[in-house]
Amino acid sequence: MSNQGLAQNHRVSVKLMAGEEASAIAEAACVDNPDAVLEDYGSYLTVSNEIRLDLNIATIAEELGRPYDVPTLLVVLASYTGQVEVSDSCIIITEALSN
Amino acid sequence: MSESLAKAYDRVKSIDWEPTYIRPEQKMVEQTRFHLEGLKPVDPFKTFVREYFQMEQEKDNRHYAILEASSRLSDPEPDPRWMEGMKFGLSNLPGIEYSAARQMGRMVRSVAPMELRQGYMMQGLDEVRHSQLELNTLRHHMRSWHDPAGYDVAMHAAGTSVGGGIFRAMLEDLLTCDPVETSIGLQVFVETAYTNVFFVGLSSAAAAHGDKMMASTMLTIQSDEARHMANGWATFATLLQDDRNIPLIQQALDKWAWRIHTSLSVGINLFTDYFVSKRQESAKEMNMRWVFDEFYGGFYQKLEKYGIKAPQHLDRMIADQDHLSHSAAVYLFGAWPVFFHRYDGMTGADMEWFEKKYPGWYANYGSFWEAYNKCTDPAGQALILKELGGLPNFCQVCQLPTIFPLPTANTERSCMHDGKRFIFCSQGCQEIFFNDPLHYQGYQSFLDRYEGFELSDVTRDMGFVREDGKTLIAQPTLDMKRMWTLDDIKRCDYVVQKPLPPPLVEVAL
Repeated sequence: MSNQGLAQNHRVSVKLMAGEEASAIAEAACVDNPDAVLEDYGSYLTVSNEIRLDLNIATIAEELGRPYDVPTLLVVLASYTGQVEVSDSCIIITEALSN
Repeated sequence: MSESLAKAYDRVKSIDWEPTYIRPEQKMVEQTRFHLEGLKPVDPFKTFVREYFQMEQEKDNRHYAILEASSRLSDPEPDPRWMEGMKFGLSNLPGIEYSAARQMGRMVRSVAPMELRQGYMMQGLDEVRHSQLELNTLRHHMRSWHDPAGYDVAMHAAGTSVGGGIFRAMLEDLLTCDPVETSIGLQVFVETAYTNVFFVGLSSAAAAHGDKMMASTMLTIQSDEARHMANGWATFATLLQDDRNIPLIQQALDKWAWRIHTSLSVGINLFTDYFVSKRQESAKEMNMRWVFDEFYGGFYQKLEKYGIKAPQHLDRMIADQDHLSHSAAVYLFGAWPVFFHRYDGMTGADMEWFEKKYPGWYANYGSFWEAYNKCTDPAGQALILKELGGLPNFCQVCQLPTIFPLPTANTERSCMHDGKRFIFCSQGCQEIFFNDPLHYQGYQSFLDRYEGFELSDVTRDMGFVREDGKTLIAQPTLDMKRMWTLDDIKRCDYVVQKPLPPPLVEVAL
């Protein structure tokens, strides 16, 4: 694309509604995705990574110290960038149109 | 995708059936020009109805707990500039969401693949929920804010105000265009490209200004947008499978990139820069990061391998980030007597911030603010609208005043069609009009309705008057000691007139 100012961007991210769960999800994301970057915007948190970001329910449950599931995670998932894949045990965000 | 969820989802899909008692075209009601037959639809977010309701119930429980808590605990009073600006800002939202619910209804009927219909159906329910959440926020603010005037007329105002007209024109376009095009306009541009800036970015501003209710409303809404983006993506990925769709997609992308830029995006930029006093990022910074870097860089650019090109006016859209909010503010503040909130003019500190974030700001907009701040006392009998030379023209397509990118260097033009002169704000809107003139030529503007009216009669006719029957709801400052009345406006003697039309340009057919 020949337009000015448009760099290719390969980052994927989630935005989480601030609170106890968001902090645990963000901590867990940093465990499962060692290069992930965490930013705090007050009312929400952003976790981003290059190309792929895995949110595993098991790791989040460990961080929270109680059982957790995907539908409850979706309640605090305010937004994401990339392509989302939802299953029983995890949410995976990958770069859109990557294949 | 774990096997259990995938399997269960396929089982649910197999329940779908074709009715025998009506023909497919009777069922579809509206035909699309896109090719969907024989394609393998992409599943958006795999969500079952039972899970969906559980999730939404949980979201509502959490949200309404905040409403309850904030009305019981005496939280510090929220910021007045923000709370007054939200009278106009929030007034537009329930109608936008409700229209989106109607758009989903059309798409459920007209876009056949059932994988997509399931997602649209849930989105339709989401949109009704959003509309209700926003109506509840309006009601909460009406009951708790010290000056409820404006919140009480918000829904009426959304249908009549000259600012709301910009959003109404956008929604009517989304509701009456090709039903597949609606997915591109709403789910790809409004929801994927722009709702992040709006609901996530502005929620942070709402929280900073003490408006917890609005912050929570925006975030709980945005948590549904995640599924809506997936609907848009799934529809889009399905369309890309048939090469005959590529030129149709390109046309829709060109149209909606510009159409949303001149409507929703103007509102978002305006609210972000001019309804706040505790300043964080500028509208330009937020748009550059979320819209142009994340959406255009992270998503749109990857469509290139399918032969999709950048939207026609992308360079102008980026360049406009230096001016959108400021030119919109000149209009919104300049036309204050026909709105329904109290305004807070820009102070020295605001101006300093603008000059830092938008170098050259003062040279372009400083004189407006100096003049505005001199016209706020009714005793001065000076009306900023009159000082500015009256209202500008409005664009036949987007209904924006034709003052963009800058009031002093705008791109307004007129064109002849069917023996009539039509006015446009830009090349982009002119192209959209001539691709489908019937769609736009009947639209009437504020000037068609009120030409020849003395200004206080306009305000009275719109119903933007306080309980005493003589004081305006709108005021040019937050100060409530000496407020403008209809008589004060009348003394300024401004009669609404259509400005001269801009020069004619030839349309290449």
